[in-house]
Amino acid sequence: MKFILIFLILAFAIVAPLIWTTDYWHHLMVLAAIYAIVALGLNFTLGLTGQLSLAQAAFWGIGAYTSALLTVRHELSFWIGLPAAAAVSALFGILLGFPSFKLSGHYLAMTTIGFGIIVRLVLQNETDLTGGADGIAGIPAPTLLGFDIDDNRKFYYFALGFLILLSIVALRVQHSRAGRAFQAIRENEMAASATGVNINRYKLIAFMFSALYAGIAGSLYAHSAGYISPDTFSFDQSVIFLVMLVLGGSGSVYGTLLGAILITFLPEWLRFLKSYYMAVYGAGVLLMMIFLPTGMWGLLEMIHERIIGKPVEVIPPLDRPGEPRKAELSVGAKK
Amino acid sequence: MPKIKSPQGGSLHLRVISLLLLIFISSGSKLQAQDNTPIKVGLNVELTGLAADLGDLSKKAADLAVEEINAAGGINGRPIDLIAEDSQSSNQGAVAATNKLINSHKVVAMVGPVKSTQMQAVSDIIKKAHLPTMFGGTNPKLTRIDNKVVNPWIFRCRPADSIAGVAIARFIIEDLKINKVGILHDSDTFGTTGAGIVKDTLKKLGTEPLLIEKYATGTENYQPQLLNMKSAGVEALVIYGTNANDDAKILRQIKELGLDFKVVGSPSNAQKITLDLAKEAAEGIYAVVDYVPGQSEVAKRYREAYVKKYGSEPDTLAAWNYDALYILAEAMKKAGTDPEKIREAILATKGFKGVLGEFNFDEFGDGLHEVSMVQIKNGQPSLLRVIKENE
Repeated sequence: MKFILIFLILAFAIVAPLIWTTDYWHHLMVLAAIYAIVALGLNFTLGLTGQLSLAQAAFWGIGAYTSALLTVRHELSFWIGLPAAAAVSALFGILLGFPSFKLSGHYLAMTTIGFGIIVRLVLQNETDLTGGADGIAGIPAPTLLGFDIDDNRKFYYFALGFLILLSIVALRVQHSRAGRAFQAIRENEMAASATGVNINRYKLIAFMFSALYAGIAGSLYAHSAGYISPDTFSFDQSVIFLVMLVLGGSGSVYGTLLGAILITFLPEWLRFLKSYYMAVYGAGVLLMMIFLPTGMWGLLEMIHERIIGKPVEVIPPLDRPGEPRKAELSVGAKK
Repeated sequence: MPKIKSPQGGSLHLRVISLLLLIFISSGSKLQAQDNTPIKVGLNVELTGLAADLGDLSKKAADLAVEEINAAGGINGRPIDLIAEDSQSSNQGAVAATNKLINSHKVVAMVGPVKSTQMQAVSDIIKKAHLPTMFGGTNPKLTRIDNKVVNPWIFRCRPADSIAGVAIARFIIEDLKINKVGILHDSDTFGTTGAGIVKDTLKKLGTEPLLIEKYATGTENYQPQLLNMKSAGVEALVIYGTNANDDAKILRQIKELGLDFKVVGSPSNAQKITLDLAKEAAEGIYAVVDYVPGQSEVAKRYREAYVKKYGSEPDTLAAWNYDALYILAEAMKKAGTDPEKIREAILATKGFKGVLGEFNFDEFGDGLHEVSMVQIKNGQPSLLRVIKENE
């Protein structure tokens, strides 16, 4: 049953560009795939470990700039830019992980916001390094086995490949020893510590994964857009990533993917509302948060449970099956 | 059932058929004579997000132009259908809006974006789609790099930043007749580039600045730089700032220190925010601006029409949308809807009198080559002189 569902979703993802054929839709699909990777990253820190990080756009930006600078200024290949972006971003992720040893909840959130603002200011003002407010133009399209991935449709499949790969990794991690440690920290730091989980180490690992994913997505974004500038990697964008995660279903890979896709396309579907779109969009998110505190995925799980009579497998292993899943959205709050 | 008879006694059916026939024939001949289908023009504008207030004003200016053009007969009888798409004040949003306009609405031409980074983000899409685009971003590099055309499909309807720098230098030498010049600039791209252009132009005019100092955006204390200027013997001080509140702080501190520089400022020095914050400290300073409301007949007419339609004063930063649509409309009247012909017609636009001044397009797609030098009198910018780029 589950495999049929996954197969159907994959098949849909593959034929989607053939159904919606214009460049407009293809560009949005590329964005959705890239945003989904960033949101998957955020799922490690916030969703699994319960550490509220609002610096995800900064990591995304670090990845984008690393890859863009290496390929534009030093004329290196995308295939060097991408791992470099992942590595540099992950390094900063580990650095930002350190404050989480002592801080939690909104104090940690403030620290990550500060980090995001610093990154943005550096991108904006270190003109010699980053090109300043003008940004970096002429970022080359990647090549794969001699093929130029130079239009949005090709790039979509390219990014989709990364997304599938990284989703599998995320699922594997979630159900691994580390994944269980993450969730133990989220549920009760003290209890986790008492049972022998090295809290600081796993927090760092969560931050590293989070930044690593964002870095890869940043590199993909830079090479698909061909131009980047500091204003893209703003605090607002971090909040959008947060909304993707929370709306989709924090803590669940499938939910995260769902949220990322929804939040990418929702503004486009609401285009007909013109200047009222923000109000409707905001109200929609608000209502969903009130009535669906476990996100879209939580709702789907609930429906599934009603029909089949037992919960689907993707609930965190710490929750005992049969018991209704508790809302985990009191983000970062100590229990 | 009694047959319906018309008063004249003829069969109603026959009359209806003949009437339909008449309409059919007349409309057929009309179709051949004139095409009434609207011409779709896209507007890439910030309806939501950080710059939504400017986007709203831009759309108002554009709507006003379209209303006037359509009332005057449109493009050879065809009305303009202006389709606004939201750029959400972001690069990704501007790209999505451009794609939507090209792919879904199939627009003939586009107006917008006003922000340089957003323009840069959509530039390649425009180039690929051969979409004539009137835009407002003022970064000189958008249209020319190393004296080469960057994108043949984009046309700038505001003065590029480079013109302001040239104008400041020439005003100091030609009008103020001072050659002891100091430059204080924001260390961001805008300020650094601008200060560089002032310096280069001064050199061409036979003088060198005595001192160049910079500051980081948001600095509170400017006294060290200002006192250095004083001891270097500066008589005319160029403030090449980016943000209005920094300009205001500098102006106030000049006043507090009792320094008697002639101050010539970048456009932000004459913004309403600067004048409100600096109050009497801004009195008497000079600054370059895109244009002064009511400086020409066209600008006066624009202001009147705007106030009549919306009941509020027009904004200086949004007026280029109005000019852009008029230039585009003129080009389409001559060239029809073929993109290559529209492009040629826009580039051939010379001596067009717009709200912002006289448009003369060069091969790079730059339309405006003049800025206005103003002096602040009683808290209002008043026009001293229109400075042209090449005189």
